[in-house]
Amino acid sequence: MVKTVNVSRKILPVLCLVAIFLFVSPVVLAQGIGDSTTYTMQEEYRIEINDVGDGKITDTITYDEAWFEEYGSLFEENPNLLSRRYREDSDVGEVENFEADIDRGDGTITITFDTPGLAYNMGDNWSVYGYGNYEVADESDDEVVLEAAWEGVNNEFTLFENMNLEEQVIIDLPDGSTNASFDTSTGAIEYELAYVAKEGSGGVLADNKTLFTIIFALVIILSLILLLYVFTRETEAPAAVAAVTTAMPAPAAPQAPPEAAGAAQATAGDATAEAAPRFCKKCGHPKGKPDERFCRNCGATHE
Amino acid sequence: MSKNMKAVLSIVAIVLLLGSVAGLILTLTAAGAASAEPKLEVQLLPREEILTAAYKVYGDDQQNQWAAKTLIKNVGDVPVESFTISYKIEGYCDWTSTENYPTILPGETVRDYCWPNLDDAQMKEITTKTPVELTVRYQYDGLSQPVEDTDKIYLLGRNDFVFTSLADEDVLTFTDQFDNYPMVAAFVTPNEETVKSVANALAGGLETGMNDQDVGTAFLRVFDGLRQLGVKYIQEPSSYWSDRAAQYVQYPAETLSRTTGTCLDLAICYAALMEAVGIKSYVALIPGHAIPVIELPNSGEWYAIESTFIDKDYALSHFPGETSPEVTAAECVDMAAAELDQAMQEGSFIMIDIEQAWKNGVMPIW
Repeated sequence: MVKTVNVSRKILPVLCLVAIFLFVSPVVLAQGIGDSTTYTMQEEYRIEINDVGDGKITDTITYDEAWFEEYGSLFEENPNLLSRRYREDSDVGEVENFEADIDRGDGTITITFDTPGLAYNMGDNWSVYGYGNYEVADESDDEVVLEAAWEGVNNEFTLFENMNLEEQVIIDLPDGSTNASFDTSTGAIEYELAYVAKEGSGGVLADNKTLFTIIFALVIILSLILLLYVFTRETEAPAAVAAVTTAMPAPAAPQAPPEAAGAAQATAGDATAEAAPRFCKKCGHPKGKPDERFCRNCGATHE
Repeated sequence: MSKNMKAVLSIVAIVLLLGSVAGLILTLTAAGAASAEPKLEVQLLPREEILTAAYKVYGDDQQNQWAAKTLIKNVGDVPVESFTISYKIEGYCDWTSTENYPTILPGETVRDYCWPNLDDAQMKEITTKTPVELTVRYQYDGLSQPVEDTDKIYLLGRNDFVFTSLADEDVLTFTDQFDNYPMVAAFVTPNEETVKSVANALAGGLETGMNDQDVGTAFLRVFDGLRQLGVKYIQEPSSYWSDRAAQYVQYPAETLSRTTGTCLDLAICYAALMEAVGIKSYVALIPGHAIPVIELPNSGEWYAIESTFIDKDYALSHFPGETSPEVTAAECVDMAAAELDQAMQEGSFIMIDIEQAWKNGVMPIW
C-alpha cells in the first residue's frame, strides 16, 4: 500500500512560506499565507570597477508597490535581513562599507558596498567572474550589460516569499579599458586595460634617485679636489713683494731746498742723533733754530 | 696663486661641497617615498571550522565552501610580478596546486581561496574537534625564498554536525536554524557495505527504480526490517563541542550496528537504505524532528514515515492511543503525512534533497 503526502512538489514552493512572519508578526503571517499573487521585482546591479579591479556595487531592488507598502516596514524593523548574507564567512574581506537604504516612497531598497579585488588581473586581461546564467544585452569598451530572469526566488529580500526577479547587471569598466567581452562559457566579463605607472610621489630627487646620487657624488669629489688643490698651492704674495721691494729704488728723502743743502749736509750727523726734524714739515723751509716753534716761512707750528 | 684667488676658490669649493652633501642626503632620504621594492600585505583568513563529514565539498572550487581565504594587497609603488600561492594542512592535505597571478599592480587586491583535497583516511579517523595547522606559502619576483604564514583551523569530529553557521542575531526563521541543512547529505552513505547488504536484503526482488508500488513496498519493508533488527529511538547526546546548535549524528552503518538512533539518525539511515536500491530520498526537517521521505518514480509524489516508531515500545509509552498496539508501518505513514502537512502549513519545514546535495558536491564520507 502506498500512501502519499498530500502535497505535490509543484506547489511546495508556494507553501514554503515566510517563516519569518512567524517571528515578526502573526498578523503578517496570516496575510502572507493567504496571498497567492506572485510578485515580480526588478533589480539593477551596477558594478563600477576601478583601474586596479576593485568594485563599487550599487544594488537597487524595486518591489511591487502594493507589496512593499504592506510589508516593506519589516525590512526596517529587521535590518539584519538585508545585511546578514554580506556578513557571512564567505564575504569576509570582500564586503566593505556596506549600507542599505530603504525608500518606502519608491518601493526600493538600495544596497551599496565595496568589493576589493572583484576583477582578476590575468596579465593580458582582467576577468570578472560569476555570471554563468546571464545573457549579454549590451557590450562596449566601457560597459557591459547582462540580463537574467528568475522564477521562484525565495530569500531574505523577498521576505521568504516566492517572487519573480528581472535582473540587470551593469558593469562600468575603468577608463581606458578596451576589448570588453562576455564569455558565456565561463560566465566572465573580460577586458583589457594597459597599466600606466603612476608618477612617483617622492619628488624630483626621489624619482631620479640614481641620477642625482651620481651627480651629487661627482660634485662632492670635484669640490674636494678643488679644495685640495687650493690648499696645497703656496701663496705667491710674499715672494712677489720681496721681488718688487728689491727692484724698486729706496724711498727718496725729502728734497731739501737747494739753499738748505749745505745746512742739511752740515747737520746730517746731528739729524740721526736728534729726532726733531730740521725743516718745516709743511713747507720744507729750514728751521732757523732747532727749538724754533714756528716756521718763519709759512708760519706752521713745528711739532 | 694670489691670496685673493685662493680665498675665492676655497669659498667656491666649500659651497659646492656643502651643497652637494646636502643634495645627496636629500636624495637618499627621499628614496623612501617612492620605493622600487615590491610590497605586499597578505592576510590569511581560515574558515572557523570544517565539517569533517562533508570534507569533500571544501575541495570543490565550484562551491562556496573554501577552507581558507587569503587577501593579498599590493601596498607598494611597483607591480608585483609572478606571484604564486599554495596551501597545506599539516597531516591532512599536502600542498595544494599552485595558483599563479602574473601581475599584481600597486593598489590591487587579490582574493585567493584554499580548496584542499583532504586525505580520506585521515578525515575518517577524526572523532572529536581537532585543531590543525593551516599554512599558506607564497612567492614572487624579488623574494629570495617563499614566505610562509600559519593559522589554526578546526576540524570537527566526523559525527559532528552544526545546524547553522549564522550568528545568533541573524537566526530569524525556521530555515535559519538549519542553514547548513544540505550538509546532512554527507551522512547518507548508500555505498557503505553494511548499508548495501541490508538494503539489498530488504528490497530484494522489487523493481525499486521504476515501479511506484514496489518502491512503496520496499519503503515499508525497511521499516519492518529495522524493527526486526531491534532498532531503538534515543535522544541526541550533548553537543559540548560547539557553542551553536549542533548534534552528534550517526552514519547509517553505525545506526545499524548500534541499533539505536535519534530521529535524524533514523531518517538518514532510512535515506541511505533507500538510495542504496535506487530510490530517490529526502530528509524532512520540521520543528524538533526529522522524517524520512521518498519520491515515487512515476508519480513524483512524496511518501513519508514516522521512523522513530520503529521502536514500538517508545511509540506506545510516549504516544499512547495514537496507534494500534502493533504500531504498523502504515500507521506511521499516516502519522508522518499529518506531521508534514502541519509543518508545511506553518511554513516550518525543510526538505533536504539528498541527491541534489550530492550533485552540489556534498558527497558522503563513505
